[in-house]
Amino acid sequence: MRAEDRERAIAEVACRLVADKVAAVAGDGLESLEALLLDAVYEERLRLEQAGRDARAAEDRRFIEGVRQRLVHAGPEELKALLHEVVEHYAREIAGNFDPRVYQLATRVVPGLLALLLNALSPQRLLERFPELPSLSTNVNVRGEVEVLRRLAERGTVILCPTHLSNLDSPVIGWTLYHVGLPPFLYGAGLNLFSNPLISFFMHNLGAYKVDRKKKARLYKDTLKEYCTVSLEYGYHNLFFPGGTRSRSGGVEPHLKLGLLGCGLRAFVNNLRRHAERPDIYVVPATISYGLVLEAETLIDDYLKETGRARYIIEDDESSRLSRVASFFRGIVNLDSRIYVTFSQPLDLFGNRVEADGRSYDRRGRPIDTRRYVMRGGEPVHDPQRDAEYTRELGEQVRAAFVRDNVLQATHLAAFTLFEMLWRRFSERDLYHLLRTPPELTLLAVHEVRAALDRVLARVRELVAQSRLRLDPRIHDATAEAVLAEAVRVLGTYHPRAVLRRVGDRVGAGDLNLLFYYHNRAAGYGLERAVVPEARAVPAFDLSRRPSGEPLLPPSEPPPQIRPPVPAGLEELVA
Amino acid sequence: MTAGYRYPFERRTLRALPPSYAGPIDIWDIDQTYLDTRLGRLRDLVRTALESAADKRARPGVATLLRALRGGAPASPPGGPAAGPVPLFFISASPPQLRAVLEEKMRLDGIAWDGIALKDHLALLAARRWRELVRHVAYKLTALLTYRLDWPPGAREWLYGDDGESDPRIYSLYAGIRAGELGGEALRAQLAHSHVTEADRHAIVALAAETARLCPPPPGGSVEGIFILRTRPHGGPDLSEYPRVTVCADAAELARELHRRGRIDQQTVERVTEEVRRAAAAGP
Repeated sequence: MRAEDRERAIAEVACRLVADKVAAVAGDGLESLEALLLDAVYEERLRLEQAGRDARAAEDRRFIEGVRQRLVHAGPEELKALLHEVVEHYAREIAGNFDPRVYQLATRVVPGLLALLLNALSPQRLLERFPELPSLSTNVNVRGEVEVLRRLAERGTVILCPTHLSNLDSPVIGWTLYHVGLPPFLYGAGLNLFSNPLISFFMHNLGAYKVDRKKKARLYKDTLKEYCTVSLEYGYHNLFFPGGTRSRSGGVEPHLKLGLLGCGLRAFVNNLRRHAERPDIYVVPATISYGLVLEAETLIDDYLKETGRARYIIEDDESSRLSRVASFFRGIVNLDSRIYVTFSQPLDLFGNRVEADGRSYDRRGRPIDTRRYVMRGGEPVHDPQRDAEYTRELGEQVRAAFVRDNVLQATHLAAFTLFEMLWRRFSERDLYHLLRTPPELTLLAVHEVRAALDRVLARVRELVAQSRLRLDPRIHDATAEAVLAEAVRVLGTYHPRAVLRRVGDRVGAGDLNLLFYYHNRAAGYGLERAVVPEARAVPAFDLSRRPSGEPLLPPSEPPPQIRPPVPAGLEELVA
Repeated sequence: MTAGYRYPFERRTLRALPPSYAGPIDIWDIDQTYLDTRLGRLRDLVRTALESAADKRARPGVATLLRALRGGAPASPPGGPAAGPVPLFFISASPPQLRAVLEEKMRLDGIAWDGIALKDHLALLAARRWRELVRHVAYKLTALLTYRLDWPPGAREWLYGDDGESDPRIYSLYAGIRAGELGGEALRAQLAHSHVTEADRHAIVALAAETARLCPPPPGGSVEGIFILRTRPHGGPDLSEYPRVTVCADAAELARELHRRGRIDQQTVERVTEEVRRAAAAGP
């Protein structure tokens, strides 16, 4: 957010939230301001017990201790003042700073520097190509509804919802937006991303706002949502990762978190109420597909330890190490591996299709006036229960777009095929037992793997023809042998242990965890039946559940409380 | 030197061929044949030793050719459809310390292989056999004969090298051994002519005899072809003294020859030719 808007936004967030809470207390008495503040103190103290001794933690301790002491004897007015202070404290921490100078630097200088970085490890190549330097545009392939997105960004405010696999997603999306001529978006970036000094510098100054997932206080979450709402009302395009966190399994997100997505509807209603010039807010799902994933090892380990929950945050993974980032980029460039960014069909806040003219259309192609969705008595109103239902439907459409526009690459298809073949060969083993299989026992005859991959490819092409999936165009007409060779090439070099290796006339896994990780990107399309059609059925993996059957990720937030109907004419007061 | 002496080299085999296999086995040299390596000056040697896999370059068209050879003949896969890819081995005078880089380069080029033999430079240095660092006859003959003991008797060798060092001579000697023309004293004399040490002469003659006993060559020999790529576009040593050798100016010419012999299809020839043409147009 620009400096001139930042202070205004912080003040507005604090005022709105305090007014909201005070109104809620007055309205139904379900919670007191004191309880809210006590919850914040409790959660913060709990968090700070685990926090380190750095200056930031010390400052947080001083602040929350001050709140606690004043809370003991606070009267109603003091409670309001305290609430205001706490919300403002959170908002100030969350609010990002957009520095146009850094943006200029990032867009003009960084591509050149990055190009140098990519080749710094190979001076010979650098000299050979000079003055022609490689560009990320060679490796990052942008597809989908780019033109519609551009037009919508001029007509209203856009919420971009990409899949989330890697800490490189934010820089990749940031570069992509710049590359296709869009203005910078605000990012909600996890605090752990700020541990990398290079990424952190740009995050700090390119408008990224911090999301500290260790902060569990309800007041913090409400502040975060309100900040998003305000930024959307100010016309800042936003980028949320609705998966909440990086996909630990490597698969397409099975669950979406709808909290921040719901801010769009709130901002839309507020825009209508104040007769904003451009009230419309559009949601654009996007998928990012990597042939190689920088942090794959850490992520799949995390998944397999069943600690890939929202409360578990990886502080130090491969993306924190500059050498690994450099190695990754070098791998991407040298290997000619691709990152596909696909912008899906834009949606309105109710899950309907939106065209470039900014109008929504239902499934039968009839135009829809979305304002009517939020009107009551001729006025736009907030209705938490209704809005939660709209957002849930929107989430389903976003998730469907993720599945539909997921681009499968050679690495995914080869890993999927080999893993499924191994899963059937060792069908008496459970997943964890299978993953402990010595690599020597995973070697299969290359002609068998090739035949299975051929069937998988045929099935994938059918799904592509039905627009249920996307395929890397480079392998669209490739033979199974070529796909396998490409996968061995790409997966055999970047990771410390080759994921997929050819040993003479056999193919096997060098690292079964990573093979499983890359396999997961192709899971969920029913391709298992194509691997060994005549074999007995082995249940497909459900990446969203633990082996015991319980959900792996925490359930979605509970629906909002049902409040008594508001008498006509008093909606404004309650809101 | 002890009685059990053998030339020091490191050999890795990734595949056991079925005893009934009677198809081709491709055996390639690496430097200057597969890779465009410059070895003329000390500076080139140092650079070759230090460069990464990504920096190494394959000779134009050769990687495509290798992949096609590996894929098998266009009409019917040699050895039957279930026999898998055509066996591919590399015998290189590079040291084992470069194995990882060479293997990575092959992965980058999408080349799958079945075995690589590398010369043990450290063992030679430890034995103060300085001259052996640049002489390859004893090493490559030993490596070829040792591999031959592992290969099925019916398999046929296709040998690929360059004219930069001693490949024509080594491959011709090997073909002579496998045709039953060279052995005992005759072989010993040829080896002496190639400056092979007494110990190596003794070991190679014994190995050749063992190979002939355990893996008797078919009439006419087991070597199907020897292909030597020129390292320079024009000129080069006179190779007419090696009648078994087919000299090719570049990978395109080699591709045409292999197509003529039914090893690769016309499409591959065109692709290889195009790569060679583009590389020539781009200049050195």
